[in-house]
Amino acid sequence: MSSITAIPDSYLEPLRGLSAAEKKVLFLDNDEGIRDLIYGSRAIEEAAPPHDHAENGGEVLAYHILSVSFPRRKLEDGTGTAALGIPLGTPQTGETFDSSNGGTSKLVASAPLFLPGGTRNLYVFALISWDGNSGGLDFPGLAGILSPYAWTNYKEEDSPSYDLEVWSSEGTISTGAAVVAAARLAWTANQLDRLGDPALDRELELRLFQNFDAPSGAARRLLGLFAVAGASPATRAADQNRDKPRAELQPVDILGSTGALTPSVTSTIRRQMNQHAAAALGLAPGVASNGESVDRRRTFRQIIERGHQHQGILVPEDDGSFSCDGAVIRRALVAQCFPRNLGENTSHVVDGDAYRGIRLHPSGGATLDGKYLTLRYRVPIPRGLGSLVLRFAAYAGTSDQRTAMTARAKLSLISGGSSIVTGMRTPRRSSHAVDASGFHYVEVSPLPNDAYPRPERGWTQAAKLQAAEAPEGVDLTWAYQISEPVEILLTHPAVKSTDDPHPTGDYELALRFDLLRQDAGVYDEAARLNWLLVVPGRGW
Amino acid sequence: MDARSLFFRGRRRAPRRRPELPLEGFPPNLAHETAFYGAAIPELAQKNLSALVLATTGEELDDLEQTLTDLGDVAGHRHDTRRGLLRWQGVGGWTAPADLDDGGREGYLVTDTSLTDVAVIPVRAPLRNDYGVAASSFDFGIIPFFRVSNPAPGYATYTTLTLKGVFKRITNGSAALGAQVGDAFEVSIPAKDAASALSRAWVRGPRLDLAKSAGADAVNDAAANLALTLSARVTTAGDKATLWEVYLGLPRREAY
Repeated sequence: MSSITAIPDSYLEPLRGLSAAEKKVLFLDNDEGIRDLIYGSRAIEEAAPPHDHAENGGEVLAYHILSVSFPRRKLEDGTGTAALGIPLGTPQTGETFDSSNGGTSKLVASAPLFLPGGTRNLYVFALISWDGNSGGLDFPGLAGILSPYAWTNYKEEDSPSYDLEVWSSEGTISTGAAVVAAARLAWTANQLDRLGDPALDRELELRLFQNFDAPSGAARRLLGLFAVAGASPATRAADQNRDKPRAELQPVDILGSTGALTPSVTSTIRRQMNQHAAAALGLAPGVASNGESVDRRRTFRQIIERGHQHQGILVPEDDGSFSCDGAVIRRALVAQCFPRNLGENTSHVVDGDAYRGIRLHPSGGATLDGKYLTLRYRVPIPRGLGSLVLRFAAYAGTSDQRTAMTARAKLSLISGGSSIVTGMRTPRRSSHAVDASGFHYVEVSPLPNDAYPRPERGWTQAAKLQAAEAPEGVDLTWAYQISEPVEILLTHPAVKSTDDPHPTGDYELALRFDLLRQDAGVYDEAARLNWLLVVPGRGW
Repeated sequence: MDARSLFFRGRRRAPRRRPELPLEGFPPNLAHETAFYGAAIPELAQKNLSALVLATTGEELDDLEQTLTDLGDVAGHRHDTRRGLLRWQGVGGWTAPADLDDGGREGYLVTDTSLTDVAVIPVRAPLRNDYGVAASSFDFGIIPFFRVSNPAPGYATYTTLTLKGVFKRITNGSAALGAQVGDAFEVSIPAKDAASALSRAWVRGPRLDLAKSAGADAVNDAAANLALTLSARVTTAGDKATLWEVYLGLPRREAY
């Protein structure tokens, strides 16, 4: 019988392997065996969405999945200020958006959705203002498509094989005074489960179509999009929340040499295993703050009385020791879409004008003259966070065969200071280069999708379906491409010994993009950004 | 039957499912937890500890490294709360469309002297804790932050920018937004608190107690779906101020 030996927290370090001697120290893979024996093998990710607990015992914060507001803004041509929101307009004479009546529905907006593991159903609310003077605002009238990035497309009717992911909004608003209404689109578990494993984090794209014809003169506008998980996490009373098995998990059958054990024997085994479980983590000594030596004043498992979050990430201290941050819940830090230039100056919005995004840079010359689109966001960055993951959708106006899309990022404390970015990388490239403005940058490739099946050609119209290849009647004029993931590396782990780990705090994330036409040596002034998503990446 | 045979007779631990994202290049999922916290039992029997601690050899060791990582998750659960970041992330907001760095073309230019709606911002607001205790007992609320600046060069500095916000419930499809939740807020930002035209300053708004007048049904929700209607005005005719961003944060506990 060996003696108890501490398992240092430093084993959390992802790349650190265990020596054979270390592996022989303790027989602790009982952990999962005990869990299975006692509670079955139900996937814990589904049963326990990420959450945090308040000091007095627990709370569950049900965060939004998407919160996008379409505010008043300047018109792109500089002629004035648009009204609040974006128009749900009327079609040109003789046209219709009603796809059930031979028309072509209009893409109103698209947005990235980051669904945390455990999300089983989803509600999307479209906030709509309506003057109340032009008849009732009937739903269905908006349709949403939820799909993986590879399926992205431009028209509702282009997606016949994805009909299962299309739902129309519910309800009808009767005539009345001016209102802001919320149309809800709901995706149930069965529907969402078709879009990947619900136990895992998923990235999906939401595309919202207008498929009704608003009466002439109707002032109907989309003010915002809002997405939440449909079901709140289970509520548990305080006295049920601590040190008790999960009620919904059942013991599995434990087979002995003569078959299944009797309930009484199973109960006995379960009780013993419970004791083992508590013992394993409750009596095993803790680890000193240096992450290496044993601290017998602490136990490996401790009852939590104070506030904390799931799940913790080990963070190196300045002196080389470790502490656990426990701060990162993986949910979108930034999710924004840019439905600009939607025909503000006319009530006759034709389909081809529907969705263009925002220009990356006004210059089409060989230099950008310092005129970038710079996006700035306030984001909370805990100390334990090692990276951010960026993804974006962009439209390339050029048909050049060789292009280079560059993403640039800088992340500094709101209160000031230098950037905590140490590098950027994609699945194909890695860079620690810094430009003259202090932005790290890396070249980014697009993913293939239905409209752009030739991603090897890069960000270019040349990657898109040719007219002869497009389905009949389909206009892919403004269809966009979606990037591969871009990891923005932070100061954990440090690149240089002189690098200081970043402190927890509110930061300003600044992003820039530029699309260079390499053959011509000039920038693509027609390039536009359609949406972007930033989520926490790895812990340190 | 000893513990060793119990664990391994005819039973190999299935590989732990490690989350993957559908597209290449993403890091592992961080948004799950181990179930061990729920599995820990208070009936601690020290006498059984010896049954657990066994020297191991051979194939049983194959998965030990992963198991230790799992235990590390548990250790994370037991984490040092000195940096506990409760309710750290914001619950909504609005960012001005863009900044082209060419003289402040973007942002929203406030010129009206009467309150004008600028944005309707959807918010997922926590109103209640896990145990059914009203939000006010748990220090819930929302703190708005505004990023403002003087207007583009060529405009006179403004005197005072006033921002007003009202939270209402988002209802489903059949009607307008629901009743007001909590207090309306109004913030006056004098020009001295704003940055120059090409840099932007953050101004912290008042803390809003949403539960204060949330109504009886509010405490039955873990969270409420709200829409914040934000309106703005300048005090003096001819003044112009630029509003860049609204960030709705939650009160947080700093390091313990």
